[in-house]
Amino acid sequence: MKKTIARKVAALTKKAKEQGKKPEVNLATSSSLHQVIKTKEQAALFMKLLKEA
Amino acid sequence: MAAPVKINFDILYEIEKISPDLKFSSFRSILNNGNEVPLVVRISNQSHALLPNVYNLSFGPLNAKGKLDDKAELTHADYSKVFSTILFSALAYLETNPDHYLGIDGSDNARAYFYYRALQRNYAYLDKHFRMYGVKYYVRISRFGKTQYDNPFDFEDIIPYPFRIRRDDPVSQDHMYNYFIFNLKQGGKAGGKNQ
Repeated sequence: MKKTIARKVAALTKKAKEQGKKPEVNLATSSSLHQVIKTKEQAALFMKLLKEA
Repeated sequence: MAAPVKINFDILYEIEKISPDLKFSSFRSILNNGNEVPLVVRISNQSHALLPNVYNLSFGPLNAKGKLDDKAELTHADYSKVFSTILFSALAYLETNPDHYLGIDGSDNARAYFYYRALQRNYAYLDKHFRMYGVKYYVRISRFGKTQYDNPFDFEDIIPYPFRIRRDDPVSQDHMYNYFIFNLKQGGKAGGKNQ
C-alpha cells in the first residue's frame, strides 16, 4: 500500500476513535445473499467456494 | 451513471462523520446541478446470521425518515470521487477488520453492470488493496415440464457461486453478478509493501 494511502487510513481511523458517538441510521441488514443462504450447509459451501475462488 | 469511474484514494471527498467502529461514515457529494447532498456509507451492524464474517455495505442519501436510500438516483458531478470515497471507507474498515468480507448488492442489472465495469476499469488499482468477487445465484431445474407453461425451476434451491473478478474476464450485462464481495488483500494492509 502506498504510504500516502496508509497515512489517510490511519488518520481516518484516529478520527473515528475520537468522534465517539455512533450515529443513528435505519438500515435493514437484509441483502440478496441473506435471502439466498438459508441453511448452515449452504453457508458452509459458500464460504468454502469463496475461499477457493 | 454513464461516466467512466477512475478510482484514486488520493482524490477523495472529506469524510465528515465517522463512527468509532468505522461502520458509518458520511461525506458531501456535489451534484451536476451544483447542489450538495450528504451521502452515507453504512456497513451492517450484524454479519449474515450464517456467514459470521460477511457484512453488507450500502451507500446513498438519507431519506426524510433518516433511512438510507440505496436506490436513490443522483447525478453526481464527479463519480470517480464519490466511488473512491466509498471504497476508501471500505478499505479503512477492512484494515481494522482484516478477516471480514464486505458485500454490495447489485440492486438491479444496470447498477450491477455499472459496478462491475467500474471494478474492471480499475482492476490494476483495486487489486493492490482488495480481493474482489462476483456472486451469481443459480437456480436448480427440478424437472423439465411437459408443456412450456410448466415451471421447471425450484426457486427454493439456489446456490450462490462466487467468482474471483479478474482483469481479463469479461462478463456480459445479461449474465451479470448478483452480489459483489470484497476482502482485504494479503500484503495490502497499511504499512505493508508498496505494490
